[in-house]
Amino acid sequence: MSAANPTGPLGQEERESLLSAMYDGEAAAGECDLVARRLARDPALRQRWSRYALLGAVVRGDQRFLASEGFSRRLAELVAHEPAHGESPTAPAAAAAGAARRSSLRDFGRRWRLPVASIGVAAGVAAMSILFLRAEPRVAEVVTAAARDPAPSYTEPQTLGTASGRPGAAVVPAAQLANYVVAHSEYSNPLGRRNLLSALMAGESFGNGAAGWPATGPDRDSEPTASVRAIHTSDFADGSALDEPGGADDAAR
Amino acid sequence: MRPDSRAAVIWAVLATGAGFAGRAFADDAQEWLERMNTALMTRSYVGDFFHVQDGRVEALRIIHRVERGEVRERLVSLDGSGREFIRTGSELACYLPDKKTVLVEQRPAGDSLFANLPAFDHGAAGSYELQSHERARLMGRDTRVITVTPHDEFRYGYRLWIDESTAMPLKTQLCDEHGNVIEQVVFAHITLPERIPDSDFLPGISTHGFRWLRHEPKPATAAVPNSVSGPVAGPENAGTWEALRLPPGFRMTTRTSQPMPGSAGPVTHLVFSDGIASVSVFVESSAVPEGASGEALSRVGSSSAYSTVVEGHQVTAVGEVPPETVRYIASSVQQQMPAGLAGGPTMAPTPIAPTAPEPTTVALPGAPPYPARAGFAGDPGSLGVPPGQFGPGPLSLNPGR
Repeated sequence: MSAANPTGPLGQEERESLLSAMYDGEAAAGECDLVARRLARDPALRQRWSRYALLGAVVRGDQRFLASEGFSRRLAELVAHEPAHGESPTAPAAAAAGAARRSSLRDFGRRWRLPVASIGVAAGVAAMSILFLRAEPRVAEVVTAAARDPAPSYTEPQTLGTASGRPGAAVVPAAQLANYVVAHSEYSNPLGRRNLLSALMAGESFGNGAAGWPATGPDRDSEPTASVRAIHTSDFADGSALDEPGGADDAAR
Repeated sequence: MRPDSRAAVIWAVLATGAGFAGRAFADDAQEWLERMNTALMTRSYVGDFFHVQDGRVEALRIIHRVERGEVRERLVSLDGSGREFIRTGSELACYLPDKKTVLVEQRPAGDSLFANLPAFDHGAAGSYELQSHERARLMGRDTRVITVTPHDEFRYGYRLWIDESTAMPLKTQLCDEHGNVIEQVVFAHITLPERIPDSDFLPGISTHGFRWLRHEPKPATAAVPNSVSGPVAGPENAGTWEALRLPPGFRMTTRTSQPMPGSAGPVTHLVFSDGIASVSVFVESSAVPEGASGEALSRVGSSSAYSTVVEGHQVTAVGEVPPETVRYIASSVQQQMPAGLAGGPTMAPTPIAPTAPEPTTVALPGAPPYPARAGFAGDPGSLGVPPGQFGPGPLSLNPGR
């Protein structure tokens, strides 16, 4: 059997809840912008999530939708300046990358409504993320001030550390901590494991520079001992962190 | 039975009495969680999802295949770092194009992902409240909403949207004890293909010129590939590392000693679980400069890490739990010196160990042999230890052998 019940365009129910959620949010949350940027910049990503009815709504100029400003406007704006692609939605990402640049939102929207054979649980994709991100409080209360710091230090003695002797001497090098996290993930439940690895993927927890691991021996002196940048909030402010390494699309498959 | 009719039956049952209904909700939740775990572990699937945490959004793809008992899994960043994690059996390779490095983590031989599954087992019942909620539509699919609410501040909770027909979680949220979302994963789509070709588990990047860093369990006589050049310290065999006290509901589930990339000697690795959350404690002797002390707290994603020095050893606790929990556990870890060291610590028969594979002997040149791990693959519920009474006991393992 297959989970594949390709769902069509959003049903009334989903659509209503989506719209109401968009109305609920006053201004576009930062997260919405992140998702919008990501979708706008990555044709392959858009392609994979082409049943994204929200985009359709944006493109069709759904007035109720557009009334919520924020996300939809931002997305339309971003998409207008990004290369779209004329390939079929199932074409490989590599092919898509070379496709003709287009700027017509209407054409773009029409392509988005094409069926996608391989999609199983054809969820609404980014729309979901956006919806839920907006509907829920931002995460942040458990995140310490140090973690929000643009360059948080690994050591955070002010709250939990009762450092004695030489504070910070026990600090684990970033790369070593990442190793621990990877090793620990093997003993987590499936959800915990996935979360951990995803977080490692997103963060810079593997330390700075290529000196994270000694290639020939445990020369700890050469390891970075600070800056486990586990949490970022400002990397996307200027879009710089969105610059993708050359292999990103290839890596997608 | 179609989900609709099954739900109808459940509702009919629930209508018979409020008290009974409450119980049925919990049972139903338990059942869904088990079903979900089974699906995540045993089904083959391909899915794209957003991982959202503290303002960061990462698009990822997961490809998971179970074929003839072997798990293959590939987690790919669809943007950003281009990093990949590829698991093949007991090996987990981390491809880090930004560091031009491949890190290979090897689980001890005979170990299995399945055996390590803390699962949403019955041991969790005392620490969490499980609830099944009304069916919710999630982008065109019928999902069952399950909440796992912690009873105290030592652990996080979950909100899960589980697809009724496949039991795959389409959306998961990790929440603090106040219900605030601290991390979430939202799937864009999932397929459950009949077959996933091997080629889907090859890294999408060229690893030409990359450094490969691996630490594999090797017999003492085997050469250890250019990863350990210094003296190998291994005084852990002088005693058994134990947590003298644990937050309520936690118990030790695994003890292992293994080489790790970037660590000089074997690292003692203890795992504690409350049935849902787990915390690892790593003990290293060689990592600490003489006379060092100090403590440090960090976070990786929504996980916490806390490092301290105990008797000249670096002790680091890592887990998907609040910071206080890793601090609590790391601070309570001590080396127990059994009276009859020659014979090893007295050890009550381990009720479950016999079903687990024999611990592999792991050794590095110059180091005494270490048992690779003692797994507890059976019903962890029977291992429950009352809060505050945890200590060297039935779970002790003689590291000296």
